[in-house]
Amino acid sequence: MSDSQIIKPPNGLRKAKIGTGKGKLDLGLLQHAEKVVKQIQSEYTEWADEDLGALEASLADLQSGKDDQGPIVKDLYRISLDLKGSGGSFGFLMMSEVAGSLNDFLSSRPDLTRLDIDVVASHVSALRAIYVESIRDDGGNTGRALLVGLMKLIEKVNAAARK
Amino acid sequence: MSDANSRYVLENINVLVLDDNRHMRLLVESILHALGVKHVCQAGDAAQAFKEMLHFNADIIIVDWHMEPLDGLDFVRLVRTAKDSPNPYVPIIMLSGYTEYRRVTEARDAGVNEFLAKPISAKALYQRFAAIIENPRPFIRTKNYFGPDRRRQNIGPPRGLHERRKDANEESRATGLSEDDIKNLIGGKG
Repeated sequence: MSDSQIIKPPNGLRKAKIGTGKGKLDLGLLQHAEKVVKQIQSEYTEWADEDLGALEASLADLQSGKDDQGPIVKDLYRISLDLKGSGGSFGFLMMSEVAGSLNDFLSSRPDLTRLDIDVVASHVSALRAIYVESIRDDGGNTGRALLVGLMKLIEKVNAAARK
Repeated sequence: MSDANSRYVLENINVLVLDDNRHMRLLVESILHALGVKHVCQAGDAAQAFKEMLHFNADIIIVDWHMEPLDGLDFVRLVRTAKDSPNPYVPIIMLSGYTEYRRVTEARDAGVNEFLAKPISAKALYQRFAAIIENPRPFIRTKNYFGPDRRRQNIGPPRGLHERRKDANEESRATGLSEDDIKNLIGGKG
């Protein structure tokens, strides 16, 4: 006897379709949805400001060296992941890129050295700059230059850590 | 027979959105409403979402991964396997800032139907809905797994080829599979 069982669950989504062929992408509906997202984008700047403020506060705690790094890094990780997800969703792709780079960097470090904290600080400054300058989409040449700069910094710190 | 006038009507479906970030919940709900979904229920944590399921008959659940104290994966496992689960078969879309291949595999193994990488777009969400509506998958119960049939592999996030190649190389080194094997898995040819 087979030790796996195949079950055909009830299809509750039959009601979500009209016709027997493959449903078409309704471009009109999509355009409307994209317009709605654009309308919410104006509110996003306020929300992003809250997240950036929290990120800066955590960075200040980290730089002070007073408290245990663990919970602070956990907060930085969570906020950067949030910004990575929300930034691009609201049209700030550059915000997502930089927040993603920070999140990746934090994932790769069990403990943060003084140099590592400088890398975190550079990311936080870059995120604030993107917010202040209201750099949307991928940020064009300025955005690319910013990302390349951060990547070079990370490479440098990684190289120093290997020595 | 194929029907050229086939279309989706999302007015009648119930969608539960679970995300601890209220901004993302608002965004997802707004997109859903714009796409025609009228009945959306929001929850800010897994326990609340599980409770909501008792009286909100969700047809699709959209769940964020990174949450506390229970994360999105815990929630998916709870829905799929808890004895008191209101609907173990409900289609689940994992929405996540994580984009690594291993994360997609982990979500699939927990029992998600679709994976949607943030940043989210109306088009990407619509496509995941279409995939769920068009391809209702049978469920598999084994000693170690209960959830949608995992043989359909293309639930990965829409990412650039460069990133996928990089992941494929890393995965290849880790598993002993060839780079082509891994590429096929990610690209849905597995």
